[in-house]
Amino acid sequence: MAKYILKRVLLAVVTLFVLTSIVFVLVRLLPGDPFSNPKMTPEIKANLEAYYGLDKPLPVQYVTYMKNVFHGDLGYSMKYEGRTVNRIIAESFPYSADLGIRALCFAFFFGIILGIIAALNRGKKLDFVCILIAIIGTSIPDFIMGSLLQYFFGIKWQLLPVAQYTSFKHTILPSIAVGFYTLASVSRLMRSSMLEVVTSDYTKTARAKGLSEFRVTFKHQIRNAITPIITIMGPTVASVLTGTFVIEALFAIPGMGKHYVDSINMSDYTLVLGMTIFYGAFLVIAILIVDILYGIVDPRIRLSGKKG
Amino acid sequence: MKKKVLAAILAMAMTAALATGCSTPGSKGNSDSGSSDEGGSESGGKKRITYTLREDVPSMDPQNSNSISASSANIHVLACLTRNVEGEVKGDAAEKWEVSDDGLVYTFHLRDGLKWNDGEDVTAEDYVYGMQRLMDPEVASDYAFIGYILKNGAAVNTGDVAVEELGVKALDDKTVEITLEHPAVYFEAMVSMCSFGPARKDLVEKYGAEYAADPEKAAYNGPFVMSEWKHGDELIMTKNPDYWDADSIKLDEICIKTVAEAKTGVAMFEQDEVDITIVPSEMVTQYVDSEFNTEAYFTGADDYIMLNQTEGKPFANKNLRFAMNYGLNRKEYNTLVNYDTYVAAQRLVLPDVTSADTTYGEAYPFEPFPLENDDAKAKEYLDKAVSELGVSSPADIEITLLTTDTEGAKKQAEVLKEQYEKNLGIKVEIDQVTYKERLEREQVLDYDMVVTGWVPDYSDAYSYLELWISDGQYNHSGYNNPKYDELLEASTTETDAKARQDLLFEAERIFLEEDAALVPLQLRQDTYLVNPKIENFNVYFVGYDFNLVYADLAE
Amino acid sequence: MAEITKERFKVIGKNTKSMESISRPNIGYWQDAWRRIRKNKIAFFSLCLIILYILLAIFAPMFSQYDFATQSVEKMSQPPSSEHWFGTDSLGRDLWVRSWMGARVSLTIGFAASIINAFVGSIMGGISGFYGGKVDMLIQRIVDVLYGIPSMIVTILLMVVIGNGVHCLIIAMCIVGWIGSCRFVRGEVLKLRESDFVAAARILGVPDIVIIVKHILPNIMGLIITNLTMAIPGAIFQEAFLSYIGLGIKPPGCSWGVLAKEGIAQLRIHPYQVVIPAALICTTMLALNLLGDGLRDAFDPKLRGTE
Repeated sequence: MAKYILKRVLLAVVTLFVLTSIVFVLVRLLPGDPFSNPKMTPEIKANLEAYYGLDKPLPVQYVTYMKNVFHGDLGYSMKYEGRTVNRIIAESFPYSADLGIRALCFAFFFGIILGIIAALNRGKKLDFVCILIAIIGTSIPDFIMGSLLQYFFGIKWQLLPVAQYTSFKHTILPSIAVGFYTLASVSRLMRSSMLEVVTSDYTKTARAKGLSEFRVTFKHQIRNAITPIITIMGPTVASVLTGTFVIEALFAIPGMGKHYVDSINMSDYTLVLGMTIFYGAFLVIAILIVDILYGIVDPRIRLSGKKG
Repeated sequence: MKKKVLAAILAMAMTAALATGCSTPGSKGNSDSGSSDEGGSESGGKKRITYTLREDVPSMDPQNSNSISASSANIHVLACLTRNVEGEVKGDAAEKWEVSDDGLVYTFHLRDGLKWNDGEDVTAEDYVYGMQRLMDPEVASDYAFIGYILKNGAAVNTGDVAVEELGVKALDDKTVEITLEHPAVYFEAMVSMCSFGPARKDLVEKYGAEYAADPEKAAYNGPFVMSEWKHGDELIMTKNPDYWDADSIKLDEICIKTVAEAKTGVAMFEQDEVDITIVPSEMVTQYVDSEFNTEAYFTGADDYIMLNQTEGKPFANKNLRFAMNYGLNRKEYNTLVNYDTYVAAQRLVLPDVTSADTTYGEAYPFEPFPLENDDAKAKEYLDKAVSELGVSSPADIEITLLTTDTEGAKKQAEVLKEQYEKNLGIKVEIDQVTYKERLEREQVLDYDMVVTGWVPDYSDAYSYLELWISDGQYNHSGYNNPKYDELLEASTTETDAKARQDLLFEAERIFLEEDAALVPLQLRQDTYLVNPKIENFNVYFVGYDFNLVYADLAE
Repeated sequence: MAEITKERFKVIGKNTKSMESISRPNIGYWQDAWRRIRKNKIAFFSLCLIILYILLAIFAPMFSQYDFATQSVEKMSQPPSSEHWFGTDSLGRDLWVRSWMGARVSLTIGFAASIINAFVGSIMGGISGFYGGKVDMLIQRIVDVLYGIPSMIVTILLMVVIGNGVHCLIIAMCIVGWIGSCRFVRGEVLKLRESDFVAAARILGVPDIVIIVKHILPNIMGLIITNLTMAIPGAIFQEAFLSYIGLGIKPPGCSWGVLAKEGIAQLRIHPYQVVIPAALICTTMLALNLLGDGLRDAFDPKLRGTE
């Protein structure tokens, strides 16, 4: 197991290296440059390029950048003068992560419950209600969902604050807005896989052994049905925790989401790369954990490179 | 067995992560949640005003930012040589100043006893250093061009001569002497901008690139000091008791909140969380005649359709340019695109800019093109254009309208396409690209027409007109008229204010009436929701937007 | 007592044709699925709704007296009426026509992108899961890298190269879109690879390709279809998101995402402008999802033949 993890970690580093290199090139292909604005002149641009080392040949820039990255230095942002990318991430990530964790708690908890209820009541009214809730979640784009939540709960009924992120009350609406889509996919997937498990042989065996219905459901069915949920968890966790542009903008939360979009719009090379590396690392780690979990939860899947 | 232990550990780790996440609402790392009372107005006897910005202030380094939000924040925390309040210039750090007869040498005398907030004395050297920083190629300020007016400014900035050669000297601890490249009546207003503000050499050397990136990484000598800056969230400025004019400063605190969505800002205003916020144009009608207090201000931005007049492009044809100007219904455009919140423009220069002793608009009323489309005239010019271009009908004229990806830009493009196709019968194709690509394409003159605009850097017609000098840095239209260049050149040496303005107006007249070099569209006007208790607040179009220096909150 | 003699038997030879024949009336896989989908009222109704939307998308703009791009100052933001069934937008354009013009774009993008993605993803996921080892490792690393590339950069670069439009959006979505279903299919195949019937087939020496097509594919078809119906909303959403940040299709063209975005600004003043596109998106998603559930049941070989 240790060997397997080591191998995967090494591969993860290689993956990140390749990813960073590709994005390093892609970002420079974007039209325009970090400094273009209507009042930019060639002289001032030359000064700025010299300042950020962009006047050197691309391979030199690449080597310098990679060296710095290996030392954990992501460089200075080109838009936010005097702020390092490390700092921008360190300042904004806690907000996104906090929001993401709340959203995931909400999504996985209710999603799994809904899915189980639906599957156990297959074809009955309760099933239909659960499906409907789940589907409505996947049916509304997040900017509409967020705006509607904000409008009804914040403006119309004055129940909750419309924006910002300063107290528990402030976190409720954005968490729901971020989590609802995930909730819906979780519950639907849970229902599907529960249904498969319900008709499986080991369920029949378990019943034949005379186990109580409670034990059959919890010990055998849910444990097996949860596996596909884990597969979607990796990418979902990574993308939810690292911020959502639309919801953060709507609720005035100073999270990371906006940097993904803004840094690209502004061609802020270092920030784009920093965000990519951070997100990539997060994703690779999340997927690694998921793969390990997958092996543990589903006894049928063996990890390659296992020992003993 | 091993597997089970690992599973248990992983599961525990995950639940722990979830639990801690859920049990600590609102705790943001180690920074505590700040004051619990976010909702503006007076809290605990403190006079505090909160306003919203769509984006975080990119930088508080006075010499190193060209954003209006940064210069607005900076006029609150720095005392520049002069202070501009809605166009009226008065002494700030400088008590008085003299101008030489040729208008080239300005001598500023600092007040006695000026202090930085950390107790150091404010000296003339701080101002000299500030301006040297602005021009120093090593500092690479993106707003350096504003300082090209200083003697040797451009040469210093390109690295041709040493920084010490810049025309700014400290004659003694309290006297700053500034020499200009050419006389400029607007210079005393210009030095009120934070780019010409003071900088602390010791702190710049200590913090390097991070100078002013945090409240403690800079010093302040203005009416307020920056006391807290949660990047991306809020910037707080508190009153500076050591400011020389502290008695005139009524507010205790100013808070700038970053609220990306304007409609969220409006909702926050309704919940009394903020005191000043911009209203998106589609919502303006809802608020103007309501119980809420709204105020509208010109931003100085003047939008127009820039026409590419280089050889081989359709708009090299003058008659077609006239047809574009007569075939546009500016009134209808303004209603459809801006819900009438902007002002339809018929000329280039913002009428509000200063001119000798009045405003430019009053001194030189000018309406070269009609507000609504004049089909007869448009047809006359178009027919000429059609024959000159050698096509058989207007429908053969195909024009690409370059535009960006914002909602506003999209709407502009849609309305313009519709109007030109309907009124002139020409074909307009919309090419929607990212903002950066648009700028790049403008620079290399790879477009037919593009909606763009200009925000002036100082309150003078020259700021709008210098764009179109034939070999000007910002002239991306291919406009080339020696007569125009001569007039602008003459204006820089003319010392009589009135005569100088006459020259500038003549240039504007030629540019539009004779050459129809662009299609004026609109003057931007922003509408704000303002807490009615606020007094002495203003929004201005050069140097800053929000000015709360002398603002007060009524009881 | 009759004696069993050799003469009473006759060698008829090996009949390879009837060896695996099934005596029940032979109902094909697709036939069976169709039969079951028709019996499922909700799924059938959903299918009809989607077909209706497709027909409206094709024909409604043709038979309307209004054009989707014609503006009018007098008709700015008029609520739905007998003249304008869905009202008009802030430029006075007829929303009924615009809605169905938008449907053309959104449905095309949704179906095209997700079908391509499901197809490519299933193949890659299948290969990855079935062969495992080095192939799996390689494909998974490619997937990881692609996952990390910001899709916005890809979209912008594509827009620069091929111009903005429906085809650009579809390609942009496909470059990274397939990895979702790849990951998912791989997981399923990994599970099935270890199953008894695959092991049995292996022992009998059945070639890999047959195992994949005959044994594994039918078993995961249901999940692929469910996934596909969930991917269509995903693609329509992504288009809406790209419109939201301004990378949508060329104006004055529109999609449901564009309409919703334009409408959301008017939420407090003219709510119908957001309610209509939202309702269209929502009902489409609802129908697709319910249909997906129906298809899932219909394709599931374990439920085959059951009533």
